[in-house]
Amino acid sequence: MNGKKTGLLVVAAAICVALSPAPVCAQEAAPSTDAPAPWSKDVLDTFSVIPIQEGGRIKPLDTYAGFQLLGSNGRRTCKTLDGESLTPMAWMLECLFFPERASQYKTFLIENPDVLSILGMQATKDRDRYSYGDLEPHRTTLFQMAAQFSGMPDKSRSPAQNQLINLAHNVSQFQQLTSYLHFARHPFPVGDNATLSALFGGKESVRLSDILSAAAALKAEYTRINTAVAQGSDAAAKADLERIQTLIKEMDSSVGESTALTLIPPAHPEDKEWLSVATLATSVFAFKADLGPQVEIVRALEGLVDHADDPAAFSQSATALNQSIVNLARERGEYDKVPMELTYYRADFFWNSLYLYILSFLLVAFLWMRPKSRVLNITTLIAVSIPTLLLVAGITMRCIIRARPPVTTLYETILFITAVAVVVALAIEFMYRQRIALSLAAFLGALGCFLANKYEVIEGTDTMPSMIAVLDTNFWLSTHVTTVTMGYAAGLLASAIAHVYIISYALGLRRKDPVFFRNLAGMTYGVLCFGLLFATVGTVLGGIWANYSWGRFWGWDPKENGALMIVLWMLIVLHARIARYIRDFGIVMGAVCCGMIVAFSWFGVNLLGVGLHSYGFTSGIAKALTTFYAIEVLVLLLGGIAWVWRPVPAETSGEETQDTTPRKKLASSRA
Amino acid sequence: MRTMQYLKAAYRVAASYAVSIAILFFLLVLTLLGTLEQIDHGLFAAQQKYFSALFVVQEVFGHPILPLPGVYLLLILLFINLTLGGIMRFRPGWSHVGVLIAHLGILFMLLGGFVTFKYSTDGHLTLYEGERSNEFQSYFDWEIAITEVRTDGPAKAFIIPGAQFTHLKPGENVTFHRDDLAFDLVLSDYAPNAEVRPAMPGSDASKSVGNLVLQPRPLEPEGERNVAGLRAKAAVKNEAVTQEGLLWGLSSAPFRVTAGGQAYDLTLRRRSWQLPFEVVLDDFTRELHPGTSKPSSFSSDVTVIEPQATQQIHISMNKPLRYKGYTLFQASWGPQDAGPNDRLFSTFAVVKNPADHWPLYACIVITIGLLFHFCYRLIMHLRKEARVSS
Repeated sequence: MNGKKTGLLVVAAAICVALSPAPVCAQEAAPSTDAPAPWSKDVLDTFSVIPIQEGGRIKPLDTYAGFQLLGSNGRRTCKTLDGESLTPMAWMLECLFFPERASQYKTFLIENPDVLSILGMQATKDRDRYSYGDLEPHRTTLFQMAAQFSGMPDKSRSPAQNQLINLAHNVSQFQQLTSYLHFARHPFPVGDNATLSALFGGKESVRLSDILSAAAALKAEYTRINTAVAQGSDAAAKADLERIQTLIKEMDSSVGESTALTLIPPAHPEDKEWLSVATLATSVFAFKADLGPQVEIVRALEGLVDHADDPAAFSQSATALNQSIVNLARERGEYDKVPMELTYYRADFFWNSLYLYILSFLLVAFLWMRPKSRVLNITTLIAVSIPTLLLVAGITMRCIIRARPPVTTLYETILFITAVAVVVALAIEFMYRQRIALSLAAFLGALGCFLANKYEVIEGTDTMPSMIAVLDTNFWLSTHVTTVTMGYAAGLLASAIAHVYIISYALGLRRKDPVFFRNLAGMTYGVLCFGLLFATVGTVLGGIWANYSWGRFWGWDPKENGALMIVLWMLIVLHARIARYIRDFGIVMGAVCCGMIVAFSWFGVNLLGVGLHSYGFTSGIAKALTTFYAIEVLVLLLGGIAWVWRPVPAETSGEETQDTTPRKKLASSRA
Repeated sequence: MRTMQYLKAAYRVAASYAVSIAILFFLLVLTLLGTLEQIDHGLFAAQQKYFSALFVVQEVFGHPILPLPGVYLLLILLFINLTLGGIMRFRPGWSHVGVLIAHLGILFMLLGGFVTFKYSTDGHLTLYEGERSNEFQSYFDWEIAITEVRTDGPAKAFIIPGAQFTHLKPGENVTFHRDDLAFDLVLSDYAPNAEVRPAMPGSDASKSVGNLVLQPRPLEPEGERNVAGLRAKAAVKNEAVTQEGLLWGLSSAPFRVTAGGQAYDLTLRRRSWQLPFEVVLDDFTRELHPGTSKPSSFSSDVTVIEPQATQQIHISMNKPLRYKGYTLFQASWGPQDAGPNDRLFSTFAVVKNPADHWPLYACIVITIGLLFHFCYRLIMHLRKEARVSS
């Protein structure tokens, strides 16, 4: 996982920050902790759609909050002390405006009890959630051990050590979030200094926004007094100078903690990097540009802190904050896709697809019991089509949001492969109308969506990351990656159909129905042909991309080799069929092996830790892959044993055979 | 007559599906083994052992017991098998057109691979901003340069290509002789990766030269990080005098030989080639995704200088410079720890490949062939189903 690897580096960098100042939530009195959560739907909506720059791209604050919570808590919700479920946005508002309360929510998932042992904590369960308050006493140990483990080579770290590093990263992020508005909670005293008092209109204390608004005057005054002091001025001038220096130091120290959210669009159109409150303060004093509108964002944040206990006023301040950020982002042309992304995540396409696929799979089961029911036939077809449409819609929205082809990350390969496999299965069902492909469509759809959602949870980072330089080419991503991934999908679908054949055959199902087996073998063969076309073209296109980008057609990189192995195996199976070395049974056994090779190429090579295609970190995948291989070997053994003990169903004998058996007639006579 | 029968039988075997499938199977196995080999030994070693070799001796539990054909040999056999198979099975008719086209595409791609393997040249050109050069170096190949040391006019230079000494095994040697060179050079103890160390007291004197010894090292996983070394003994002609030295890829000073009153400098260096134009690196730009340390693009502004004209070119990832048969790709940059105002260097991968575009042509042909074939088969299948239904 790239994100997690980056996270390790962030931890190392954050450790210094995290260890030195105690977080505001643990140290200082924040607004009331007993106040009810004031997060009305309007307020949540207002905050959700605020743009933020993170990971090199602009996204809704809701997306940011979602992945922060997912990365730490293992799911996109958390519970309050009263057992109320909070959305990511509500949780983030709690962190920002009620940090003490948020520090009591159990939002740190620890899945390995060894992590607790390292920290010297008592494990209540093997896998449990802890609050910041639970972890706070062990904070020093946590960061020290994380620093120590980060220095070890990746391969030599144990799972517990890796998880401890992630935990330190999450705790550090939480601290940064809860202390982000520290500057707004503590006005800066001006005292009785006449010079400062005059500068700030007689106020005894000022907010950060006041200081930033008066930055030009403050700097001019500082320069004037400094010159006077240098020329030997009186003690009053020295006192003024020291007071201004103290004020600036206090401000620096206060905003130094406000780095987590880069919510503030820069003033200059050519500046690509958005600002946090901390970087804004630096920019204001550097006089880089007129930052008046940006300072208004700081003022709005202060207003929010002031009105945290007053829902009506808070809502107004939230709207003001939203408008000030959205207007600036819109002027820069960076806001257009933010509402769409919010819609995308709220639609929750892939979880909904998963539920609907499961439902449709149940309908398919009913259909097997009542195959002649026309209503059930149509209902089931619609039931499988709806999640497929959702899946395709979700992928399409991702393409629009990112302005990229459908596959650019390992996560997206799961979605795309699922969609292709389901659509091809539905096309096969259209041709054969035997409910087999329909059943597989529902099953594979559910499995694919489950895997995609699981992968997202394991990763816990934004699934729309910025592209690294070498991949930044939509032409090759849309040709090579898309086609080769379709080859993967076909290989897996062929394997799935083959499983139906082998298991049915081994268990003696449909023993007297050769057409059933013949059709399954025919489907497997057809999908392998489809797969060969896309795997071959996709693999060669990958070589051409490499040739035109790096100057070599083939570099024997593990991912390239994996794709080549798929092509070679498909060629072996299809040629063996043409040569009549194998028949239907050989085809399906070959298709199962093909699925194993696809799994190796898809995920297996990422575990090798070598090669150029390191776009997907695959912690936890090794176990799943081993289980998959164990099951596949069992299926092959089952097929092999059945082949020895049971006569193979009547077969077509290869491509050249002129099969004149009226299949549907056979089927109808059987019925 | 019998010879003809044998030939026909050989032809049938060579063109058979059995051979095709065996070749494809071995290719699959070697690809898997070569992929797994990379975990411990890196890409370069795996490539040498499996993919560029005619034969492979596979170790099983540390014992070399399983001889296998190498990928290079298998690809040659596949080419022969495909060609003969195509001739043997050629039938006029639509049902074979797609397959024939696809196989022709594969043949063309294999041919392209062979031409690339045999006749392409690749290396790198590294320039700091403001620097210029028309010479690029190999990543892996070495050569020995013998240069006259002379200030009174042009110095003669002799090159010993790596092919003449990189095959040397411990205890073997080879003599480089030229009539117009005042000495013969005996090369021995070649190590593809080595370092030069001071000889330890009590160590084998026959292995050391002066107080230095060439210490072989295990091969690096990244082939370009290997630094070769060897022993060189210059036997001055017509004199019973020999001068011995160590040649090492990272030597700071050449091995100097004096013969016939003339001094010569001997260096072991990366093989290099001349470009037909000069390249100046005007500027290197590295961009990051905002707020991250993730690179979004690398690019170099270069000036290509020729006697007749100069032109300014922008080279970036996925957008190389193609000129006069050479292609310059944006490959790398440095120093990695450079500050904002530090001078940067840019590394270009330089390739001269006569079969540069062949894979693309082959891909188009294969796609057309496979599409035609599978669409044809699908239509035939659907027609048959329709017939059965009716």
